[in-house]
Amino acid sequence: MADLTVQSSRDVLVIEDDPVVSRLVGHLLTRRGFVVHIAADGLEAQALLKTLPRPAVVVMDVMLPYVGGFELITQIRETPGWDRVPVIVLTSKSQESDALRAFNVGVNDYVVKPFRPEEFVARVRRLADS
Amino acid sequence: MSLHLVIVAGVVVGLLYLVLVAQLFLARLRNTVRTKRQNRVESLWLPLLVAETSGVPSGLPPLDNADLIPFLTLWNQLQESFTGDITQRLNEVACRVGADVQARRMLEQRSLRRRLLAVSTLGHLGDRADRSSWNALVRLMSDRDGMLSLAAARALTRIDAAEALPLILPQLVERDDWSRNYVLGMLVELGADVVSRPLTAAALQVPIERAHKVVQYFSAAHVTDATPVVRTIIGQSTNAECTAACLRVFADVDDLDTVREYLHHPSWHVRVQAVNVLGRLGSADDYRFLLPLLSDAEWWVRYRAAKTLCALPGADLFGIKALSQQHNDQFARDMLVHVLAEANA
Repeated sequence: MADLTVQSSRDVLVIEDDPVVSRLVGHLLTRRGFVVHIAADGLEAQALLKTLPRPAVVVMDVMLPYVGGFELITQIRETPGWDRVPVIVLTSKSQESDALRAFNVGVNDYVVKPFRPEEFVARVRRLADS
Repeated sequence: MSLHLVIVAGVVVGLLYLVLVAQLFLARLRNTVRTKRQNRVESLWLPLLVAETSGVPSGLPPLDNADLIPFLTLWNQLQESFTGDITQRLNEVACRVGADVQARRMLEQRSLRRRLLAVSTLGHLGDRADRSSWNALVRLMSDRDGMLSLAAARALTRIDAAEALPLILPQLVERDDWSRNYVLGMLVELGADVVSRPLTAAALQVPIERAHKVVQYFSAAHVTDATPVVRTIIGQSTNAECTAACLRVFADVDDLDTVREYLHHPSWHVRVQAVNVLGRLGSADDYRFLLPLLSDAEWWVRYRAAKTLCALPGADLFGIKALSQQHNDQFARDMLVHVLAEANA
């Protein structure tokens, strides 16, 4: 049985319900050598929390179907081995206050859409290397 | 005779069933083909559009006609997702493969989807010199379709906000089908430095009873520009919707005397907005003005008054708790108990 608490320094879990954004984020990170796992909603993300080895970084939206982003962040923090995984919230301008609220539940950074791709990748790399 | 009818009905039902199955099959087939094409276009163009090199490679593949819609869909999604230098690269690629020319042609087509895509593309391209597209977008802003006209307005602001605003602002009064949130998002995106003066001036140029159609967007303006305008409008308007919209804007304690005059306005929409202003700007002195509103006929006014009482600077929660038991009005007592429970006090 795989040790699910072993961190893979190149794995990134992307939790995003917009397929275009998740493909785009996947493309940006894959070409920088990251291995990207995508969850399209809160339920898929919950399933991955049980099966996926601890990733280097989680990139997520706060507005998610089935299980909201804030609840999911709390669950990530309560999952053994995932409590220190850096979480980046990807959010639109109109949800910027939500992103700030997310810091209270343990988010490490947030990126507002539209964003500069190179800046986004740099933030993920910084947190992955930390 | 009846057997004949049964046979005919059976044949008809059978045919209808076959038509339905065929339609489902075709819809599924169309969807599969579309998804495959979108995926193919994405795998071909995404690395070229979002390449790490600064320049656009000289040997771009030709853009097939069949790939135009998925290409423009992807291109617009990238424009919406990204900011910075990369948007110039996206524009250069689009022009190099002739997507700009195609978009101009699509403006004249009947398909709403194609026209929306064309409008969005021209907005992102932002070519100020292309007067023909500018004029076409201005015409589309008056289209009967609200979505198309709003998309045209947004495209115009992306091309030249300063020139577009005087054309768009009168439409705020005319177009009841424009989404308020969408318009506000558009104005906020442009920024208060661009929007503030024209927006606040526009509110004074429309008939006073329709001014709220403009005032409702004042959160996108600088408060220093908005405040003098709402002071003028609130003094002239007899429209409750307009008065309520003006009250939402007040952000200066110097206006509190004016605001207090509206605490007993016949419209509860106005009363509740006046209470909200006291919640934002009021002082301990406002306790006596809010107290009678705990017995207001409207639930929302009682609720906001009770919430504001508890949040006033130096609010005496013990005193309010006592009031929740001693007030001579049952509705006031119930509301205070409710609000104190919400505050866990």
